[in-house]
Amino acid sequence: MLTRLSRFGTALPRLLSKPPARFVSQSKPSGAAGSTAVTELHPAAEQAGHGEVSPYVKNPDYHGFSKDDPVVDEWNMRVGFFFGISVALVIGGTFIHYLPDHGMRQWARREAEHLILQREKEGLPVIEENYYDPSKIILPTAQEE
Amino acid sequence: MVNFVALAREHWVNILVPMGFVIGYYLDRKQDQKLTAFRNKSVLYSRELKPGEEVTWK
Amino acid sequence: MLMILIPTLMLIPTAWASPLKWLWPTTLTHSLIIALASFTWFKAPSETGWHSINAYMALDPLSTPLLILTCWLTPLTILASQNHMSTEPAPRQRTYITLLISLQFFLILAFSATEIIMFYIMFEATLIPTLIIITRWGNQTERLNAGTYFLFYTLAGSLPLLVALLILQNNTGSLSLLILQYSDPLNLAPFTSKLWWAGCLMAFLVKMPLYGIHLWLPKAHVEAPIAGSMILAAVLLKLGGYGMMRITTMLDPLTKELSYPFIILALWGVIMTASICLRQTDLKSLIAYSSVSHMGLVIAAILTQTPWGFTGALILMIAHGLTSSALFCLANTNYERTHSRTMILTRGLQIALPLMTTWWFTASLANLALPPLPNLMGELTIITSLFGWSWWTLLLTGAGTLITANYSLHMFLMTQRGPLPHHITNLDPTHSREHLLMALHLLPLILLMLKPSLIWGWTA
Repeated sequence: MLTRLSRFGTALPRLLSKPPARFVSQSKPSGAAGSTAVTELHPAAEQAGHGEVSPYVKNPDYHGFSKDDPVVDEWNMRVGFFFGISVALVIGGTFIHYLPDHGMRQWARREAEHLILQREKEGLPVIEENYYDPSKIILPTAQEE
Repeated sequence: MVNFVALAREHWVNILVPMGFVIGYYLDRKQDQKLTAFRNKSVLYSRELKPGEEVTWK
Repeated sequence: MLMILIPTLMLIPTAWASPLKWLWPTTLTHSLIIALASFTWFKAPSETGWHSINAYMALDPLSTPLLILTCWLTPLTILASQNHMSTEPAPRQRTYITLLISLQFFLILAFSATEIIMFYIMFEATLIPTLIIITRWGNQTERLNAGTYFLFYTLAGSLPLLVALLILQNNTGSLSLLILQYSDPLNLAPFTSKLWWAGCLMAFLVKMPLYGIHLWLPKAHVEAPIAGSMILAAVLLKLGGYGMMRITTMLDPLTKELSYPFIILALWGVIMTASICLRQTDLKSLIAYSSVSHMGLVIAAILTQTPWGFTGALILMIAHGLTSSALFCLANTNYERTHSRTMILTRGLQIALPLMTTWWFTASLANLALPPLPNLMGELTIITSLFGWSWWTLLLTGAGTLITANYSLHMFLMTQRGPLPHHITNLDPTHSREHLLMALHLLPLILLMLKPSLIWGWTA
C-alpha cells in the first residue's frame, strides 16, 4: 500500500519506497516483488546434500525416538508415555497415596487432638509437667552411699 | 495379534524381565521363610491366632 | 529386594538379545516396570527400622527414597540417550545400555547394603561404568582429563576409608549397619582417632563434593554424555550423602569439634560456587556448579548431626536429584540442536520453542527452591537446623539462597528470553520424547509436594 503512495510524488521519504522482506504486498504480486516477499526459512532440498536432513522430512510425525522406522517411532512413543505416565505415575501414585499411615504419624496427630479436647473438657491439664510419674521413682536413701 | 508365531519370534525378549520378577519374588518369599524362627514369639508383638489361621504371616 | 535386583540383571540380556529396532522401546518399558515395582518399597512396616531384609541387603527410611530415585532415573537415562546414540553401531548401543543398567545394579546394592564393606565395594564399583561412559562417549577431548580427575579424586578419598573400615572391623568384629550405632567407641590414641574420623568421612566429602575438593565435578559433569551427567548429578553424588549419614552414627563425640571446619567450608562453598555460576559461559558448567552449591548445604546439614539436619539433607538430595537431572536434560536438548553449550549462542529460545520454555521455567523455579516444592522444604529445614547449630550460619545460607535465585533466573533469562541469534535458522521442534523426559522428571517432583513424608527419613 505504501508503495502505491510513493507513486504520488516525493512527499514521502524514500525509505518507504522499499518494502521490508516480510511485507505483505496488497498489490498484485509482480514477478520481482513476489519472490522476495517471503523468505524460505529452511529449503529442504538444499540441505539434502549436507547430511543434516531433518527427520521431519521423511516422517512428518517424528516423535524423537527412531529416525529410520516410523512404526517403531510411534510404538516407542506410545509405550514410553503409557508406561511412564499412565502406569508409573498414575498407578504408582495411587499406590503411594493409599499406603498405610507410616510411623503412625497421622494417628498420632489425631490422637493428640482428641486427647486435648478430652482433657480440656474434663478440666485436667493438657499435659503433665513430669514425663515419668515421680511417685514411681525409687531413689536410694541418703545414708546408703 | 494376527500372527502369534511372528510376534513370539520378534518380541520374545520381553519375557526376560517379567521372568526375573517371578524368580526374584519367589526367592524373596523363600528368604522370608528363613526368618520364621521367632514368628509370633515376641513378647511385645505376639498375639492369639485367629480361628482358622496357622501362622501370623507367611 | 531380589524382586527388583534380578529383573535389573535380566535387563542386560534383554539389551543384548533385542532386535536393534526394538532395543530402546524394550529397555525403556522394562526399566519403567522395574521403577513401578520399586514403589512397593515405600510400603514399610512401621514397627521395625529395617525392612525387606535379606542376608546382605535391607531397606530403611533413609535408603528407600534414594533407591526409588535410582530405579526411577534409569529409564530416564535410557530415554535421554536414545537420540544421540542412534547413529552408533548396534553393539555400542547395547554396551551403553548395559553400562547404565550395571550402574543401577551397583547403586541398588550400594544403597541397600547392610555391611559397610559391601557398601564400599559397590561405591567403588559405580566408578567404573561412569568412567567408561565419560571417557568413551564424551564429546570433547577434555573428557580424558575429566575422567582422570573423576577417578583419582574419588579413589584418593576412598582409600583412607578402606583403612578406617578395616580398623573398625578389627576392633569391633562386625561392620553391620544394623548394629553399628551400638558398637563401642574405638580405643585409639587421640591423634589416631582424629585421623580415623577424617578417613571415614573423606571419601564421602569428595563424592558430595565438598568445596575445596570439588574440582572433579564440573569437569566430569560437563564432559559426560547426557546419561552420564544425569546419573552423576542425580544419584552418584547422593552416595556420598548417604554414606556420611550412615557412618556418622559411630563418629561421635569427635564430630562435635572436628566437623567445625568442614561445615564452614561447605557453607563457604555454597556461596562461592553459587557466585561462580553467575560468571559461567558454559550452560552445563553452570548446572554443575549449582550442584556443588546445593550439596554444600547437604554436607553442612549432615555434619550438624540433628534429626532436622538429616531430614533436610534427605529431602534436598531427592529434590536436587530430580531438578539437576532435569536441567541437564534441558541443556542437552539445546546441545543436540546447536552442538554448543555456550549460553550466548543459544539465546531467545522462547520464541522458537515455547513449550520447552515451560519446562525450562519449571526446572529453574525448582532450582531456586520455589515453595511449595520439596527443594524449598529441604533447604528451609537445613537452614533451620544450621541456625540451631550457630546463628551466624544464617548469613551464609541466606546469601546462598539469594545468589541461587540469582543464577537460576540468569540461566532462564539467558537461554529463553532476548533475541534469537541470527545464526540459528534451523531448529527441530521439541520432540515428544523430550516432553516425556521432562514430564517424568518434573511431575514426580510436583507430586512429592503432596506426600512429603515419603522423603523425610526417620523424623516424625
